[in-house]
Amino acid sequence: MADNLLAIGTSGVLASTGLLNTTGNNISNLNTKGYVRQRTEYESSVLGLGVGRGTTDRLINDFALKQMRRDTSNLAFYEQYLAEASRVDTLFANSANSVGTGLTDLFKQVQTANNDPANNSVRSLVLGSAQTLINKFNTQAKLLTDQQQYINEQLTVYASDANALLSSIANLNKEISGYGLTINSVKPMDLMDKRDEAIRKLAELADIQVLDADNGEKLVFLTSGQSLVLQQGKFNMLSADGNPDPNRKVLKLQLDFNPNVTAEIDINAIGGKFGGLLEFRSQVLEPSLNKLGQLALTVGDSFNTQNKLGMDGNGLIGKNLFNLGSYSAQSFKQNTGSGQVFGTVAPGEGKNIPPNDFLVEFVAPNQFKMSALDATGNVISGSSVTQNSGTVAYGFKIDLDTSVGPFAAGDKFIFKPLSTASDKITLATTRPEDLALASPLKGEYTLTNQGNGRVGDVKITDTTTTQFSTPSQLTGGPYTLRFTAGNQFEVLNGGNVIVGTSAVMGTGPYNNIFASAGLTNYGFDVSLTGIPKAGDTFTISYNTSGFKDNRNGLALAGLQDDELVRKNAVATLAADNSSSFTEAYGEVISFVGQKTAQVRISTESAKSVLAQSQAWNESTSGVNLDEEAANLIRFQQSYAAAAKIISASQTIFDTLLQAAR
Amino acid sequence: MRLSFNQIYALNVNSIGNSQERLQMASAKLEKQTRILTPADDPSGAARVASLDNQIDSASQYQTNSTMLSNSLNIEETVLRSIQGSIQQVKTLLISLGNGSNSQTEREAIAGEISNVRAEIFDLMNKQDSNGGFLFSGFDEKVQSYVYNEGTGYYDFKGNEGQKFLQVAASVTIPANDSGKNVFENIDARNKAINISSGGGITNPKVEVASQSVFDGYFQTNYDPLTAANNDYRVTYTAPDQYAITLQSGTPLVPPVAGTVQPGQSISFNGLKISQSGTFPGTLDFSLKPPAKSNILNTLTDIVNAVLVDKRPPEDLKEYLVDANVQVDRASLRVGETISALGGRQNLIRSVSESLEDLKIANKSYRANIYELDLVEGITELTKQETQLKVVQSTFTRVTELSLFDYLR
Repeated sequence: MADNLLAIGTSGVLASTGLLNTTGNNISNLNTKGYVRQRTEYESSVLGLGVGRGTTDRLINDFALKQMRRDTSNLAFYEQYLAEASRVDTLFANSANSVGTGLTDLFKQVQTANNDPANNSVRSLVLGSAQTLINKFNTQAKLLTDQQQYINEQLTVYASDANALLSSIANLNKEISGYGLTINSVKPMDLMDKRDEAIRKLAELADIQVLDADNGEKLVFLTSGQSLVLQQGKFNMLSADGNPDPNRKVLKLQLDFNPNVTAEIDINAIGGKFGGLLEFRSQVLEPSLNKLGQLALTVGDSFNTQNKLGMDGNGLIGKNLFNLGSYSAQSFKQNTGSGQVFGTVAPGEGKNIPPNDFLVEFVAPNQFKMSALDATGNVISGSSVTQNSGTVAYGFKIDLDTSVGPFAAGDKFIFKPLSTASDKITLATTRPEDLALASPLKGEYTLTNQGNGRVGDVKITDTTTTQFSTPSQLTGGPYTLRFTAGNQFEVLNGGNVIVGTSAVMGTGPYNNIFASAGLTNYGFDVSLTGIPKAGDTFTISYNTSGFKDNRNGLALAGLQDDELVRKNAVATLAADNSSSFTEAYGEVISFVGQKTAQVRISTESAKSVLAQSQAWNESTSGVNLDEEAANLIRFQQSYAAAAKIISASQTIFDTLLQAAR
Repeated sequence: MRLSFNQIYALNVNSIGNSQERLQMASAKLEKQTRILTPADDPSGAARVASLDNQIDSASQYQTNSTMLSNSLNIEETVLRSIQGSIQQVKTLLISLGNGSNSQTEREAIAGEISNVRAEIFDLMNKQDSNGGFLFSGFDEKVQSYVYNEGTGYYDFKGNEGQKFLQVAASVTIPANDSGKNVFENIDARNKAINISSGGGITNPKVEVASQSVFDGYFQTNYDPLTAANNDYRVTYTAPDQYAITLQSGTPLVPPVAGTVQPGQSISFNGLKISQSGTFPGTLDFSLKPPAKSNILNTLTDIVNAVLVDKRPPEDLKEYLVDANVQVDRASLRVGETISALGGRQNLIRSVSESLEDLKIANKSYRANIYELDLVEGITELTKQETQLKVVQSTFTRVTELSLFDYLR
């Protein structure tokens, strides 16, 4: 009897000690990250002999934990995305570097030059502000490409972080499974805490699913289904060179004990910090870089084209003002042929360049299909154009280089000229005389004309015709227009030979006289104002020494309001598919701003969702000091009470011994 | 819901963090005086601001252009007014030249004065602007507008008829110069009859312009630039007093012209006074002078040469004086027209500039609405966030200092 009491008391004391230990453990581990509250429970012993075995359990709600992991991934995704996007956003907020102010300054300088075209110092200012504009393009592009580099590095760093976590999860799995799941096995609760914490950290890096295996291991998968931690093994994450662009790193999985087994990761579904980086790269960084590149090429090409229609300060037909660079396409690793693809901006076609990357697929060794790609890298339907070498598609002239070897059908190339265009654009000249502000031709009326006709508009459309082939001269000219009694214009060339006669023009309007006379390939045309009389003549000649002329300069200034930037690769015929330079730049700003604003809102909401799920999780698994303090008192008292039982049993025994003496 | 210890701290610390962030944001906005710190704060607003900036800058540039244009036009107007003044002087001198009571010496003196005024006008026509470019040379501004040709003795226009346009608004361009070709060179010489000859019994043929305006009207409609023969006329006098006017080829005029005239009397034909002496029958031939242009320098040269070089007597001088008077009047009219055109342009510039100013103000205010921070709003926000931070901080202290352990013995 007495020894029963002793046994009971002892069990009670031991139970209370255990409870106190647990409480103490809870209190001490208050600040341990990932610690889950433990609770010891006792069964009563059989036959009423005190307290039986106690089990200590972690108080955890699996659903709350899973929810918290999912919300952690979500928040990490948006936070990473926001951090990167804010950098680009701030970049566009700074108006000192802004390409928009650079463009406005350039046009202001052109206007000033128009006021005084013969003045060389004013012309130098125009070229100076063109150089400033290029510098701004270069700076903004460099900041964006630096971020690309940074993303590549971050991917590598995060991949090694992920690998460290995967290793520790796999090791912990092994150790925990070693303890066994039988009734008598000890639960390694701190190891389980550690494993959960590692899984939570991994959830920050990517969206994961966790399944419990039978032997106590936890298997980790990406939400897209690829496994990361298997039973008795794991995959390593790897940041690898992209295909075809080696500078655009992607993620791969590689089996730990057999490096030859690799798997691709679907980057659109990866989530977490990885997803934030990759989503930012493809949705914000690359489109912004492309849009900037498109703007640079369009501005350069428009100025080049207009300059070539004018006469410069040396009396020669103008040349290119900007060098737009030559771009090579990157071949996919699976290509069987060994040809290379190059592209340059086709002169005058700048307004057809859409803000996209392109896919070049060969259907035959010298015929290819060029399609525009959207932000996720998929071909935009309806955008494929079949071409041969040297023809112009989407504003680019594509050249095929078979010097190393021919192309094979099925070869694919990615052509991304716009991502480097802002870097490659340079000024072709720094000489102020190369700016073509004057028009190469002038039209004059003969003084003895009876009528009051005047040459109104000499429109230059093409300076590559034979008429302009000799420098500083109008070949075949000067051309004379003679108004006949039949109300027609006879066109005579420099040798006084009639080369064409216009249609009957009556009382006007006297427009496009050369075209009316069938002379459409001269590269220029003339319209008259006023009323000529029979016998009146007008002369079209080269504008030698006409340096005060600013007609081409006015056209250059007019580029500011022309719609020269293509919006979409695919659009319906009636759609408004062009915008002006300022509109296009405003588009880039609002694109970046709007994406960042969206991500800001998503981040805020993700934060509050995570706060909710954390609260739910903590409510089950978190330690509450006040509760533990109350428990301390409670278990102290039960300890005291149980100790009293022992002393009571001792007293009984002593009494018994006393009685027996 | 059960709150764990860590949760309590986390909640409160987050509140403090958020309050600090909002305070920082409010203070940054006040410091930069803008509502839009980065485009993400208002994406469409940021794009709008960029395009408004562009418009405001363009408007300023156009206004600068307007000022420059106005200045150039002022210079041109001053020169033209001086030329106008000189022309007035010349007119007076021409009138006094026609005074029959002058002797040859006096006429030569007046002609000498005319040639001085001519030199003055020549100098004004070759005026240069501040950059050394000639005002009236059109596009060829480095070429002197008028040059004296030693061989012919006349003044040639070497410039070009181009007009430079300046842009003063998005779709308004205004000419910044006028070419000498239009202002000085394109003056019609006086229409008259030339190649006057007679045949038969007619002597002393004379064909004078009695009414210049009537003759000019006839000339405009009937001068044939293509077939020269159509401009040669013949007056055939038949005895005793008939005359008929046909072309020299014999083709009658449409409508036919015929009538009666006595020997010694003159015929009036479309503003021409055809007079003769001698006896009928006979013929009188004349041709219409082909239209020519004569700038004022050449006009004055003609009259000066007639007096100083050719030393013509007053009866012969009459034709030259009529030529000079008519042409000088025309030159003066043209200069006057150009001055008015300049005035018109100045008015246009002023009105465009004023409307640009209004547009600029409207754009600036629109931009301020989007971009700038209302100071009152900003300061209120700052105060609010400051107060909130203080509140959250004191709440933190209160909530976290409560612990059961404090009450355990």
